[in-house]
Amino acid sequence: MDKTVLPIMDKTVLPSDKSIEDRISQLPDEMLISVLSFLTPKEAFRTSVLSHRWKCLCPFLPRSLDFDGLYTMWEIERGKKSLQFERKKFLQWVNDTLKSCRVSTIDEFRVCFQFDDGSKSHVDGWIDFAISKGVKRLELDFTATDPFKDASNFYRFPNERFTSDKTCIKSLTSLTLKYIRVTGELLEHFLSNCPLLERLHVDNSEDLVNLNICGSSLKLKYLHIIHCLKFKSIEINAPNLESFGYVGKKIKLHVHSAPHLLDVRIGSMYAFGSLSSYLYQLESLSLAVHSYTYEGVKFPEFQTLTKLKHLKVTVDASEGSSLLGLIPLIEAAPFLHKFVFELILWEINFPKKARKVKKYPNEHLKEVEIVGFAGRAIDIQLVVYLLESAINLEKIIVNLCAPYVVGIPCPRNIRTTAEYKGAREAAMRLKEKQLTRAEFVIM
Amino acid sequence: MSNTSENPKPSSSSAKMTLKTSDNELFEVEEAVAMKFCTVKQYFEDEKDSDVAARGSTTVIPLPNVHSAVLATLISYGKKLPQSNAVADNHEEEETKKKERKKYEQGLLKNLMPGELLDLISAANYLDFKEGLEFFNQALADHIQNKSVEYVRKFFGIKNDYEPHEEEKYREEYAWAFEGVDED
Repeated sequence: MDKTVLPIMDKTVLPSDKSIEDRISQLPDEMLISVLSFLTPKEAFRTSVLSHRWKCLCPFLPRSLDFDGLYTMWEIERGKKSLQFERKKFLQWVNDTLKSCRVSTIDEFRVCFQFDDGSKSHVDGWIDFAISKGVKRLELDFTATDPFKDASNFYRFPNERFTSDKTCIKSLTSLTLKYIRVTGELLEHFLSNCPLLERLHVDNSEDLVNLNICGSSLKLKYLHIIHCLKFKSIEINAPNLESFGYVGKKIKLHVHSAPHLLDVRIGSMYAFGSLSSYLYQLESLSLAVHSYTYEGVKFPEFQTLTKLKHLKVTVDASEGSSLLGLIPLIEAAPFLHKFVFELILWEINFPKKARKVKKYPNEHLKEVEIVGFAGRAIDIQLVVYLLESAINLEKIIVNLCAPYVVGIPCPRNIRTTAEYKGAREAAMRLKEKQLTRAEFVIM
Repeated sequence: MSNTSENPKPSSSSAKMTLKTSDNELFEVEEAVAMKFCTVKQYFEDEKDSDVAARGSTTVIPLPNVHSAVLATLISYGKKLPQSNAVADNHEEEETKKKERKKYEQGLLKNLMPGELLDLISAANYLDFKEGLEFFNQALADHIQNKSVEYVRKFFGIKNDYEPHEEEKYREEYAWAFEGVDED
């Protein structure tokens, strides 16, 4: 099994089957630390048990601390593990790692697990630690898998720490807070005191009511506010903003200035009005719409969206409805390169009727992706339209998994096997019939 | 004022350099590739300052810490990397090159013994070959990632100097680190 290894640095290795000289432990510290930086923090820590020499490296952990419990959360949700037990273990993991961490600065600190206010003392300590190490990217994702969880019990971000001028948050470039209670005032405080802040993402904070984004030197490039139930108003004056996302109820949305806005994600149609003057400079747009009526979704008249290259539409639809209303939107973007549509299908049996639709050749559309393909009249019609009109189509991906299942560690198809099979067969039939040279992928 | 060639393919117009290994073998390498070894680049630039006429095959750069087998692999890897002075490819050519490179990389790693991998890393470190170092470090990390402690010890020949009860206590105390691992 062992080949003779040619020596460098005047060392010889015995070509015996039994003994492999332990050369890796003889590499200098910096080289081993550099190798360890390619591992996850957990695995890097595990090497400390290989031998005492490896234990010495333990304090010099990678500069990026990412405690990702996503897989465990899904196991808990499926009833395979207990939240109490796993939470305790997770806390120990983070606390032990931070205790033994000797680096002077860290770039990223991320925790992804379900925590609530009950773990406040721990989480407060983690935030202190991260700030003291000059963290650049801070992400706390405490997504609760139980949708009816009491939002008032969510972890409260420690306002007091930041309102005094002692704490230094000047290094912060990105802040992501999910399922954490943080106020608009605190976010504005961050915006005024973090000169390098480029990215702000807040998800599910019921304490966020108003937000005023303004400042001529604001470096903010990315701002997404998702599902904050009590959110009422936002004013935006952001010279560098490139990506804006809002998903939630109707609010007062005033975009006074966002000259570099390129990408927008919105949860419904009413926001179009407030963003109308920016639609024509967008390169990518992501929308969520409902389609329950027979006519299906209807969009307001658009002038040509000349810059639009990527379009993503998530449709909550019932079976008898029609997705053909998306076509005017696609046609309004003559330079569209990629179109993704996600279908969340609710089955209400309306009579299905084939509809005629005029096709114009679409020269620029190169890539199409359908997530949640059901293989029913509602989506087949749209796919056929796309295949027939996109004459330069290069790739089409038909993903049979439901949209909210995509991306999770242990995907479990929500549909019944019969439905899944039906969708797969329909996709195969489309693949055989298609005339374009496009690559047709079925997932 | 180094000679930068526009075409990465070997031709009489592109400058070459000769590298001499620890076992006295000579390797003729295109300048574009040799310059990825920053140690060589530094040496070359120092030499250049002292003698403007010295070029290409007349300059022999000694690498006493690198064996020929190792250097051969590093050079071959360096050739597959995108050349900084190459003519810009269109999207399709880039994609084909990327796929080729992936295939080459997989082939390279498949039969690599741990000792050889360490030689490559040490040499890449000595030569200050950043892309090579990153690639081989990642390959090494892949041998540790998701593998049981026993496997890693066996694979690299690491002698366990923990007392059994010491190790057991450590594993218990840090249980969160030792679960969910492939036992292979």
